Amino acid sequence: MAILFLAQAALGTIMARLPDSAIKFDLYQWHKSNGLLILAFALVRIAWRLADPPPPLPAAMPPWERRAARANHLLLYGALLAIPVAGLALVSASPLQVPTVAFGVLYVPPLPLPRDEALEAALIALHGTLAFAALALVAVHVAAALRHRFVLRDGVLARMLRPPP
Amino acid sequence: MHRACSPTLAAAFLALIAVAAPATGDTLLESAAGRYRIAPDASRVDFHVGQLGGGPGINGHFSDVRGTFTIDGRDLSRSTVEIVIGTGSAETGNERVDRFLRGGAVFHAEKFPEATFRSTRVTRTGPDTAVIDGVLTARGISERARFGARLADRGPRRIGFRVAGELFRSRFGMPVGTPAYADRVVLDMDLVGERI
Repeated sequence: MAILFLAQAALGTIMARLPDSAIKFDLYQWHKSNGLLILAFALVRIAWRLADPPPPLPAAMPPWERRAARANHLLLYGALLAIPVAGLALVSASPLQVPTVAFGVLYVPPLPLPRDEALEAALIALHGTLAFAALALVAVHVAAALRHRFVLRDGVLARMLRPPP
Repeated sequence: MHRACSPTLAAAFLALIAVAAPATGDTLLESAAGRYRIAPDASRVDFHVGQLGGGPGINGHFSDVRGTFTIDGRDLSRSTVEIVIGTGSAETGNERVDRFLRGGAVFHAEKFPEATFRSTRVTRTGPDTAVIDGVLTARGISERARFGARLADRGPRRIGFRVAGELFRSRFGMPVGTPAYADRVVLDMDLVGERI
């Protein structure tokens, strides 16, 4: 999922800067397909996490750090839902009404939004802002994980990568 | 009973019938025969590309349509049509779509400013209908194409036809957007010619 997300952020940034071409159109459709895949995975992951909560944080972890970790995780899950939904919303609001066909095989109907170029532009901005905010959250998440591994050495990163038996 | 009709009166009567009778198909053809230039102000070439999910698809027309056609008065099959369309003139009412159509993904109007159709054969299918076979060239690629034509309107100096046909754009190097956007392009035209 992390790889998909990072690839998606890169794709989204690059594709928007291309001149009009067949490649650009195709990349946009890949980006939409990928986004829907991430959304599906995110829903599965969230359901999994609710059903099977992670082990408790180490006893030594201070309260501010617990709150920060919880906030980071909540926001990341929120972003994994909000960003693709914002993407589907902007497509739905576009006067162009380009159909969404995930990976060329699965038709996804547009959301019932008014077709308005201003709304589309606003949702594009929101989608981009959320994506870059999420990248910042990811950076914090990665930095914190490395801190657990190399500074605190409290076994949290090992737990993330390989769950305890 | 004496002989009622003089030869002169009989001839006059026959002549009257001949004039009053409706023109046969051949007479229609003969009177339409000639060379025409397509009148851009009165002609229209519309296109439609469907999309998945029942949305509107891409709908527009070409504002730059030129050409000539000749109608052979004695043998319709020897009639000819040549149409030239400015590929940069596609208009859908949405500037973003128009720009995309003009661009490299579709018509590549900068490199291929014209699409042409040159007929090879006209086959009459009814009193006012015909099938036109020919070669369509777009984006540097030539493929056979067929259109159906129906006489719509005629005057002494103008003649109009409804012409319809379809093609698969992937054969002309513009498959972008399939399957979300249909490969099939439906063309619907009003072609009005002025005698030259």
